Amino acid sequence: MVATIETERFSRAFATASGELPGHGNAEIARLREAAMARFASTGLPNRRDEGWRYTDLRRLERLDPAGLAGRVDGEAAGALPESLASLDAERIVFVDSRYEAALSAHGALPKGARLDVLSAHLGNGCDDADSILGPGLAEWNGAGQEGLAALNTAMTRDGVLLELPPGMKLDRPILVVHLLSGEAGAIHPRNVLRIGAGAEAALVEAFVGRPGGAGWTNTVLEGSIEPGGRVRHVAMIRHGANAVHTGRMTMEVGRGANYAAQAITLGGRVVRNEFVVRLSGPGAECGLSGGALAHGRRHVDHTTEITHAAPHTESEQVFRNVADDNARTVFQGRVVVEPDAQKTNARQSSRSLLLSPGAEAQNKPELRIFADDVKCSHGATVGDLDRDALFYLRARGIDEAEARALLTRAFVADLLTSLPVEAARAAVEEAVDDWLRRTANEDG
Amino acid sequence: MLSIRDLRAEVDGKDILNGISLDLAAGEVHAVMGPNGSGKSTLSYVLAGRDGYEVTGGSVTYDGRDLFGMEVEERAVAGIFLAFQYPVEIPGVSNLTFLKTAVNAIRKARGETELDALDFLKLARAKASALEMSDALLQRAVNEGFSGGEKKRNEIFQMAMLEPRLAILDETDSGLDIDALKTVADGVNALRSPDRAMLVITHYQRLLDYIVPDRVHVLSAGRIVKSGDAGLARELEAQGYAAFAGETASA
Repeated sequence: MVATIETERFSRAFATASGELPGHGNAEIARLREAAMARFASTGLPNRRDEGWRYTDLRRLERLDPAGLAGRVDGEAAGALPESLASLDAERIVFVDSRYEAALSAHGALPKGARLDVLSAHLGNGCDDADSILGPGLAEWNGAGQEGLAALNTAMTRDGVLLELPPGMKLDRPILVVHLLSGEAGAIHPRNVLRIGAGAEAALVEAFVGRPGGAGWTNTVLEGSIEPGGRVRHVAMIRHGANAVHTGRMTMEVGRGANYAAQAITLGGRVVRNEFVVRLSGPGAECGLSGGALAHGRRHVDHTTEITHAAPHTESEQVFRNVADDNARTVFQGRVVVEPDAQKTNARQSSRSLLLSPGAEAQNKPELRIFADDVKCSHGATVGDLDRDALFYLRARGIDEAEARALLTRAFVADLLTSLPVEAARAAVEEAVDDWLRRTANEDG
Repeated sequence: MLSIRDLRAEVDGKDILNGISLDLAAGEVHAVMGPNGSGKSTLSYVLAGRDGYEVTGGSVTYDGRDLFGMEVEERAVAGIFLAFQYPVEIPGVSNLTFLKTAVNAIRKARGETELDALDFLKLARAKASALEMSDALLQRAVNEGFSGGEKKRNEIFQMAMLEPRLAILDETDSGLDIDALKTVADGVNALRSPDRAMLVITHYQRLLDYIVPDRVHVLSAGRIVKSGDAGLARELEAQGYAAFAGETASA
């Protein structure tokens, strides 16, 4: 693709920022960032002509100002952390506008052999593994061979965490990584990297939070790998402001007998796209993905997954639940690829959407690409509104209509709370769901 | 307490109730009997306020208020309770959460303080054990996977918790074996009181052996064709509904 005006804006932003990005003095890092920017320039932002982006439109990003694109967020002083995150029992690392914020963070030393680095520091100090952090990893891989947003993240990323566990190490407490966007506008490209050794276990909670009416763009990447027998449990909570854009690409390479359980739940943001890209690369690898959105006003939330079964006896399960009120739109695209070697694969997928008003819309697009013959793959997708009989039953017991609808909506997303992979995140997720259910209608269009 | 005057209603454009009049005073239990299609369930849904049941004539006053000016939940809060013929399954909402929300909605409307979790649980356990309902049944999603008998017991349990002033029991006996019928009837009888009125809707006389009514009304083609004391139910059982079909409300 020829560079469009749009990609030129990003190239200029990169030129402005490159002299101050973490690791800018390191020739290898500079080279990796340049290469990533070149990849982005050749593909540009995804648009609706791309098969995987038919339902989601990023043109809103055109409104971001150039200074914001360069990562200069004109924010207020570091805001307070939402109480439910502050009280979450975890090692807590907080970034405000993609800069590590010690005052809001609280993390102790991990056991010897484990590494939990702030990425900006890691890239700055004689970094010798830049290629594995900023190389075109799984995040830039997909069936079509292009992923511009992840490349842009690689070029522009300022901060995030690197978690590395040696074989056999099991962390007691989850790691909570919070990315706060404090300003009205601006763009951040957080990047978190997980390297989990054989038989090691970690739990990660990512929270992306913005100001209530905030705009701006968060373009995030998670690059992870789990060695044989390892285990990662992961929750990503998206609670942005009403005008924010969020694009997230969460990738995991799952080795032999390893297990990845993840949930992405979106409760805020004007346009949100969460992608899971999982590769089950060793025999017996398993993954369970769940997630969904509670969306109102004119919000648009897209959860897109791609699970590749690349080895025999691999298993995947997906549970997605979307709720759309007012004129909101939700999208679920779930692709399962079973490669020729992946015999005895078992893949299940369930996606359900609840429409709470006549103006709401939901898209469900399951997609199976099966190249092996001895596999079990199933999917089920439904779209519906609240059960009128159940609504009447509740009201006939004195529960007013608004509360009855809230009870039934909460019941609809109960499957997500049941399959929440990180127990420590339960209170925060439940609070976010309850806040949504109690929202004043259309408060931010 | 409840005064129904020449009530007419239709469902899907079809006349179902064709002028029902009935007065129910506090402390009374009236039975409404009739064959399938006579309008029994329509009467109960119209009183509870279900969508799709359109009132085309007549009036209903409850404690002096125009019933049709009240929303479904307002009626419930004002003390009207419908025990459903087909209780609705609600996956994902536990029986206890549901009932606590309902109890507190009603308490709040009556100006009473809301029950906290512990007080509520104590009360619920006490009332449930009287109906031989297990703790497990209380924890499960509302009616989900309940047997027919468990669903009906759950209705009476809700009634015991909500302490309505007017209870409408819609074919509470259907689908119950004799033991379950006795348990449910005992539960209902325990709630009879001078301040409370009950409208017991049933196809069969059997239930009325256990819940003995003060008055019995026979419904046919959307009209009350005969009214009498408890003896009328036995008369019906002996003669069948056909014998009453031609009679008029003044009979």
